[in-house]
Amino acid sequence: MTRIICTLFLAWSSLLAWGQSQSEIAQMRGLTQAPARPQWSIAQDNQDEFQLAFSGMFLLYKNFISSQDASRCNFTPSCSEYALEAIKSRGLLAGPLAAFDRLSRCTSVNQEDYTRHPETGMLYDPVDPAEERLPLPR
Amino acid sequence: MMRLIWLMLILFSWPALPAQDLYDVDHSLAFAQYLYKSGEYRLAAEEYERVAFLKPGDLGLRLQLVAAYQRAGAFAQAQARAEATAPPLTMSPGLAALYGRILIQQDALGEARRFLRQTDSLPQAERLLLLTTTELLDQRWPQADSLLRSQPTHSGAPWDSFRTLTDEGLALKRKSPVLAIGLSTVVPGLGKAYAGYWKDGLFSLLFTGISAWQAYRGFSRNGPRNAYAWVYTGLAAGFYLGNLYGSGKAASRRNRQNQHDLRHRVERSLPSLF
Repeated sequence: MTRIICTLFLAWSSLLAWGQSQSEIAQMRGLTQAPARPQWSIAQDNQDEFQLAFSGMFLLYKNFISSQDASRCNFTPSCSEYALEAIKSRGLLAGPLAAFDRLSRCTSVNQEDYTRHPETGMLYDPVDPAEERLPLPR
Repeated sequence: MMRLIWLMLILFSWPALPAQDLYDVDHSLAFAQYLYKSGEYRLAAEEYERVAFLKPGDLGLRLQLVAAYQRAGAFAQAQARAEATAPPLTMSPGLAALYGRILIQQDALGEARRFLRQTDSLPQAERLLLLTTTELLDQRWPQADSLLRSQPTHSGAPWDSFRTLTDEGLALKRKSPVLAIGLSTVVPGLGKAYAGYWKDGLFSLLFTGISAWQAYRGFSRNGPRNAYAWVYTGLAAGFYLGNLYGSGKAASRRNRQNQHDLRHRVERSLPSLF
């Protein structure tokens, strides 16, 4: 009788183990394993050697310098992402100028001039002005 | 005996159930109107679709269907249903008013302007209101001004706010990107301040000034063979040129922001439309 009870208990508990959903398993993994490394899509699809070089510098900065501390940039996209995107979309002359301009604006004193990005909650300042959502009048 | 009574009762009551016909025109119309009054415009539109299918010639029903789509925010469907009811220039006054609003709400301002100028269906006051709204949303301030001047007797909401907004639109001065760049060439950040972003301008001045000062200090202390001085020279040049670029961009952004603000205020002055 005891054997039968033990067998039934084991069968029942193993069913419960199988009954875990994928999201529950993923949650448990998050406790023990490092989170997935971010994939910087902006550093892919380089058109020439200059873009490849800047993408390399960007990845070096993101993986070895920026990753050692919490996010400090006020904007989405961050200044480094903005710089790379600006260089890729506007070229080697206007791109770096846009990046320097962005660096001088990343001060957190001008929050009223921008809207917040719905996902990150940071100030939204895309490279392309057409994508920008201007703040409502006060 | 009891079984027989139950059987008879069921047999007699059975035909009464399908005889209710809850999906006939009257019931469906009543339900659609209930949904519309409850604010469930999307569901009301679906119900009106069924009623319109059952009574295809009823123009009043078609009007309610278009209104339900418009209130639900399904402007493309509302426009399609309105155009399927009648060609735009032969629409009834009620449908024409609704059609004009739908075009405006879809931001098809050119099409709205053409329709409102050509249609004879609308009462003059309604036509003028929608036409002025179109001109204001399109930021055509002189045209809006001449429309408002043609009807000086209209007052109260939204005419008073229309006049205020038109005056502000006419008085609005565009910021020149060229002038902003010129000002920032002389004093870094001045172009951004001119565009209204004085905090950004101040930081441009600080970033450029501090890096230029560091470069000057490096050269004066250690001469031209000093890496420190050259690094700061590069940074100072970058911030200075970036400040010129940013000043032009700031002036353009200020113009867009001004237009955006005025448009938002026009929309806010028309709660029945937006």
